[in-house]
Amino acid sequence: MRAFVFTDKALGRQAGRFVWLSINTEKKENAALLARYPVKVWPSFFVIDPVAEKVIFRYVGGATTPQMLRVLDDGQKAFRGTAGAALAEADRLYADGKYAEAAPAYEKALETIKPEAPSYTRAVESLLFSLSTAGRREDCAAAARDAYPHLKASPSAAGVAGSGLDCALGMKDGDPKKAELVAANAAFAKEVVAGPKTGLAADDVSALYGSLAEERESARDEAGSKKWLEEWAAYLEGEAAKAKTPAERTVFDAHRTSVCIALGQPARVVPALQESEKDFPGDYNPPQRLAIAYGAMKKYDEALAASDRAMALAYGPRKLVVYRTRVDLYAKKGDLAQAKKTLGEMLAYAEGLPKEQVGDRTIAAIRKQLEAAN
Amino acid sequence: MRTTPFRAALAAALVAAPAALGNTPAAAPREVLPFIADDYPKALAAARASGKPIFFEAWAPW
Repeated sequence: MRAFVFTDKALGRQAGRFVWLSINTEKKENAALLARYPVKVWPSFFVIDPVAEKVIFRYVGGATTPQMLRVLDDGQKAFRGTAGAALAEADRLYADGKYAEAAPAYEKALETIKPEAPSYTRAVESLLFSLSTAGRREDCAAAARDAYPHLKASPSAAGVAGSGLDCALGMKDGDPKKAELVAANAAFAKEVVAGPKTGLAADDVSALYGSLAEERESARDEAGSKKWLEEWAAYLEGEAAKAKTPAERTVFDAHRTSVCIALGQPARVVPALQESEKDFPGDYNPPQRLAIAYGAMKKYDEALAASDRAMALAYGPRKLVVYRTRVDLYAKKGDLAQAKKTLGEMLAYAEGLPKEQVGDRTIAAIRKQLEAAN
Repeated sequence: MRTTPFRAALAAALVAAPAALGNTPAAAPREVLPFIADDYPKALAAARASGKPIFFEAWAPW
């Protein structure tokens, strides 16, 4: 988003519509604000009424520039109270984080919103997220299946197909409707990845490959899953090669690391991560990912050296992930004393974080693991 | 928008996956919108003075 969308000159004309605020949720000084405006998904975007200090519109996840322009339009309508009544009610519930109640409200709103209407795609996306979050996976998968034909030529095609496929895969095994919903949404996902991807959000497309690999894995088709992982890696490497700046390139690092490791080819991503570490010497992410990649290669000393560099740069709740990686590296290396010592440091660090940034369950889980190591 | 985290491959790789691919690290390219960084009171005062709503972006450097 920050590399591709908020740098797009097409958004510059929107500057006068809002007061723009960006909050790094990892920073300690923002913890109190997160108690007022909780964030569960990254990135999240809120429109806030400055008088009532209340979220009046919410959008979660990545977006392309056209999708973001739609979000801005709908957010301003919510502020002015000019949205349609049914959609406004659904958006209000969604803004409050009441997803179980928002889902039927969006279903009702969509009864009167035609597919060609400007708000249709966002209403569908919000419905799918509400249904998924509320645990209504069958309804989510069915809603995606029904909406996709209307959206297949839009920037939302990848997100809708992917959400539908994930929901279908999340249905209980043995559910008589699961196979049909998986097949329908997988067919849409395949259509998206086989077609022109111009205008689609790269993260939506990337996630689709992951879902298609998972679909084959769930069918116990190892070769089929590997094929999708290979295509996924090739897609990410192709997108990274097209990047105009190091910042655009490095956003693909996380998924590239994951998919290369899943393929059993961690060395494949190491040069890209080394390049990112060189380009962004203040960022903990490249050495953290190198630590994971070297660990997968069983090069534990190099992995721990990379982890040292990541630890020196990391801050906030994500530093727990750096600690977690170190614990795993020491354990795999067979140095259980160091693994236990690092676990203790991790617990102390977690206990020192503001409560808005780390849950009691996270701290309890670390403590339990440490007790088990004693 | 895609918000359902994909699971198996990523979990196996120990890499936590946010909704989006990743974010821009240090030395970010120049944004075209006048974002106020990490200063809610300043944004609130500006919004109240101008009568405009706040557009709030919650992000994390991963």
